[in-house]
Amino acid sequence: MKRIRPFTLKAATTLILSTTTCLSQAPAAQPTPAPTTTQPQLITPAPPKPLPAFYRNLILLDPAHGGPDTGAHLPDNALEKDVTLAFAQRLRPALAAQGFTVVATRDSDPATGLTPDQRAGTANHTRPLACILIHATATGSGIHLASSSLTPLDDTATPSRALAWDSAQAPTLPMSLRLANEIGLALIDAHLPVILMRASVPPIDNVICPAIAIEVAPLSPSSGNTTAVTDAAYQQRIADAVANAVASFRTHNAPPPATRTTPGAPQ
Amino acid sequence: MIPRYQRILFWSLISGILLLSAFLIHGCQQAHKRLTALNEATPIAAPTPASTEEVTLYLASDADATVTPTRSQVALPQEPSLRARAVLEHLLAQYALPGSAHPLQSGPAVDDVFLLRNPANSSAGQIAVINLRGSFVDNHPSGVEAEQLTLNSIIGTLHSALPEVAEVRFLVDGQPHDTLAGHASLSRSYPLIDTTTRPTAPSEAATQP
Repeated sequence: MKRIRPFTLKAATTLILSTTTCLSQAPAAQPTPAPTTTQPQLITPAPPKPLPAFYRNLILLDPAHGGPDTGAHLPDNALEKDVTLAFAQRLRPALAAQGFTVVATRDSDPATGLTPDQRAGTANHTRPLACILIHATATGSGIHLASSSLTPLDDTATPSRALAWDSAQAPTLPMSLRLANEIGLALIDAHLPVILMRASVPPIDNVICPAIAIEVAPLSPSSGNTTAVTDAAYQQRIADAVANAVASFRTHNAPPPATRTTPGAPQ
Repeated sequence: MIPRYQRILFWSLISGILLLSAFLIHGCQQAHKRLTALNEATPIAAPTPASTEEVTLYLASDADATVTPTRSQVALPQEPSLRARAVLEHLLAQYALPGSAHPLQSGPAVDDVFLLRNPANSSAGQIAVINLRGSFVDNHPSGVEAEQLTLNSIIGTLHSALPEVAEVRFLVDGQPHDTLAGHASLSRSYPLIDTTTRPTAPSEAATQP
């Protein structure tokens, strides 16, 4: 008998809640006109309401690794899977304070890890405004922001009804780059060093939401002591900056319906 | 007084021991000769003419996530796959030097490089398949930046050495592998392009749709 994973149930629950609370960006389904004649007619069912492109108040966090996949071995016997989970748990309330609903691919260290395809499946099912993949490393300095290394789709390309799994991120890549830029600006404002880069980090190429991988590296100033990635204050500074940046990204890329202007509509 | 029959038995045993010893020594010498002859008969690789050439190495730096082309002199064979392997070994050896900006552990890294014709489109250029050693992958630093810089460094250097190759795929010990060290994907193919990377700073202008 197939077991249903807890995260799947949670994601499905969040999707239902988000459907009722969050704003749909897709145009509303056209109402079915009332019949004008009294003759009996075949009642055709209304077409299903199309799913929105994304929910503007929903964010997906993916603390990388977990279970037997420990990730990188960091100084002081820290494991990457624990650092990513700790950072996600700091980022979650910071995002909630900005009015976001947060879904995470894992909230604990499961006995069996999730495959990248399962993580991408969760992200594509919940349709969040942004997918944030969290990593940690012992090399480099500051925060590394990686967007997919796929080539963005040409504007003249004919949109396809089906997306290839290996390049599902390509149509959303311009938004992902803007998200990386927003987070980069917020981190610089918080006086944290940032590196923007492109990388193919599973499952970033397989998700259809604007996605970014945040890799936390030790803070190594030219003068002074090195701050480890496990430092709580360091993680909190990053989390606050990221939450502010995602809120700014929402304002720029998915404004609320009250501020949208329809041509010809009364102001 | 030792009886005569005992003396005869003693000397007979001594003679037998000497004979057996001589037989064993002779057998060992024969086996040694046979093994030596086998070794000499093993074919050895034909010497490949290798002249020193100037190549472009795309060297990565962890500090700013850049990849910078640098000229270097390397003795290279003419056969393309051997040439690609020699260039990549030379490139990765640079990262094991003291003071490297992208430190990697020393040791052999590339088992083979295969150049294949693209089965889908013969005019689209060749496909390079790089077979990395498991020891190199096991000892590679784990991290998005470190792993992607290694891949970009390999891709740029191979593009410079073999411009006729269009894309590259990776194997580890002859088998498909998901990631280099847990982060950068090895399960996809990468276009062989110039991977020169300069530091990119976020800007206010790039935030607007």
